[in-house]
Amino acid sequence: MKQEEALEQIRLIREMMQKASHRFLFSPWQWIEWGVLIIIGYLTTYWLQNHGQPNHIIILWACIFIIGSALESYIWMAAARRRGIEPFNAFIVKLWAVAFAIMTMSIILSFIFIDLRQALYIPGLWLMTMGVVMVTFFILAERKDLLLFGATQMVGGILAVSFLLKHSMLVGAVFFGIGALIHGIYSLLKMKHL
Amino acid sequence: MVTDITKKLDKIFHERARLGVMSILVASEKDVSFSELINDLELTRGNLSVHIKILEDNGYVKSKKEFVNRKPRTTFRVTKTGRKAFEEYLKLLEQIVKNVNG
Repeated sequence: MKQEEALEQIRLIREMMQKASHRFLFSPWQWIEWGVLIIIGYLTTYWLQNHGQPNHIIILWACIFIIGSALESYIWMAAARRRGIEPFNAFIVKLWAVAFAIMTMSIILSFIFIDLRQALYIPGLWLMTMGVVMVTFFILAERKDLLLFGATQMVGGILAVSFLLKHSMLVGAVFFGIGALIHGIYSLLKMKHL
Repeated sequence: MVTDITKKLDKIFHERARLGVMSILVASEKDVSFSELINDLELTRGNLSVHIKILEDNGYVKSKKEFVNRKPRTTFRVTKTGRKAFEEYLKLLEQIVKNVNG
């Protein structure tokens, strides 16, 4: 066997091993968890609009972001442990760094919208943000299912900031909350049937 | 030197599809379904079946057939012999690369 052939074989092994690890990169439980949290978040926001202070809504979403991220990390680490792989390998770190960079921009824009008293744009902004994150994950991790989910979020985002601005919260709850729930349940059923 | 190592290489893994199957199974701690292998390797059912059979006949892969919601489901996992042979193959590949570089 020549060196080129050996290198090609090693490259193929690496590629296949990485593909195998991508399969459990996103657990269906992560989607279900985010779906439930987002729906709770939107329902609580509706209630706080009449019964609370504006800053309570900011605190609520900060809590949802922290709880959701912590739960997601726990689910991911547990899955990685079960599979015997490094939970924070170079690929995962790269993936989350890209997602975090995109989300940081949206966090800053959210505060700008609040300051401008244009908070109704925030659900649409986050739908588009999550759409971009999902499509990025699709490109980097070759997860075809994320393309449809990401595209749906983008469409939801465009609707929320244009035609349905008055109902942007409802659009956010349906597209991201219920969308993530459906995606999670579908992935779970698909995993069991494969 | 390279020729000696090449002689030791397990010919079973030479085939791209079989090498792919083994790489996926070694990387996955849990059983991997037939459909998952098809998706990852982009092979046809018939083609994958042939390669799986060769790996099974050599004792490198073990299959499990079961019914989930009345639907048949076949999953695969790598055996101890398979894992050892694969690791050995990988070491030899690395040696070939090192020897030529050195």
